[in-house]
Amino acid sequence: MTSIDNPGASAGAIQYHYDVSDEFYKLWLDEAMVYSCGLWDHTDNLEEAQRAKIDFHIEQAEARGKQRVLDVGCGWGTTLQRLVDADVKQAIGLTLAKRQAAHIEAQRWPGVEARVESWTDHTPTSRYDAIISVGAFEHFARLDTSPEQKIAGYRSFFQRCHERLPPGGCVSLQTMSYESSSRSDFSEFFASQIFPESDLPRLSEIAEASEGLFEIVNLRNDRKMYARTSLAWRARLKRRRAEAIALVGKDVVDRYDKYLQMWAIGFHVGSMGLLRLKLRNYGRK
Amino acid sequence: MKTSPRQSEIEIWLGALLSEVLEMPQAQIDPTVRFDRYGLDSAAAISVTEELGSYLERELEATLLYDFPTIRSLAQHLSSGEQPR
Repeated sequence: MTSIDNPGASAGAIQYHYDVSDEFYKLWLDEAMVYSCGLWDHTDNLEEAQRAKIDFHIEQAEARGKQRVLDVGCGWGTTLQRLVDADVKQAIGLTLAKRQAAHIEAQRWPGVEARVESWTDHTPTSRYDAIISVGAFEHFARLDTSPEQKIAGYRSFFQRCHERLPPGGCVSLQTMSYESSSRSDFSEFFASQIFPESDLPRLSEIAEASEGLFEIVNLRNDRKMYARTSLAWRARLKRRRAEAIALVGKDVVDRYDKYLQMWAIGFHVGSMGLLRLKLRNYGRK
Repeated sequence: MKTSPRQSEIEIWLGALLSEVLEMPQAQIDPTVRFDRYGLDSAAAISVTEELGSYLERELEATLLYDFPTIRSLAQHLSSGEQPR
């Protein structure tokens, strides 16, 4: 399978946000540096909510004990590490953030590999048994593409997953979504200062792009949990504000402080959703 | 329902702050009208919440103005001694 054009955020755009400073993120994310919405069903603790989220995705993807599992948008690698704990033999992560990949490689976790590579360029030598993608899909489209290009880009992603999984193999996907808002509401502040070259999906776009390739087995929208996660992060950032400013400067800290609160509001009032989907591969015809 | 002295103080304080943020005379700000009717967006809501937290010497979350979306309901909630949601 050959490389295709990346329909989403470039490496530069991803690095702009995620490679700001690992030490800065360590100040306010949970201890495992999991930068996505937690699962707060059975806990009031951020660390436990992040662990529960990762275990949820491993279960949804039916990845436990499998040979090869792919994590698209692997962050600082906690899911990869947890996959190996779940008896996965090879956990491969893709990220465009060089520092994240370097962090993972430095841990020397057996069975874990992190590649600085877009899913559009990834051409594995053998199939995967399961695929997980958490908090990356939001970067698979850009605001400046047409609606048709947006769907085509998403479909390319699902097509690649379809061809790299066996029949019945699962994708566990977690992404933010537009709910009562739309592309036209994506603020200039976010587009220029927080997540450049990115756009959110609508649930209908995910369904359209995966149709005929995957069946959607289950779905939950946990937007209130992302409000809770954002506020937990913001509280930690506020408590460690002086240290944060010393690392990255006041402008960056103020930007993150503002964005985390705006996110909390967006999830709280329903302008954005937080989707967790289990998709099962139909298999090639 | 008669408002408590504390609630009245908070209402007046909020009215003054909103008057400044929205650049409107305080007399025109109705404590029972929703904040979004006055065009208070999320960025402004965040700064109002910050100022309110400093005034009350309490940690308040940015979502509070969306759960209590008028001056009256917000002041009532904050003066009742409940913990913010």
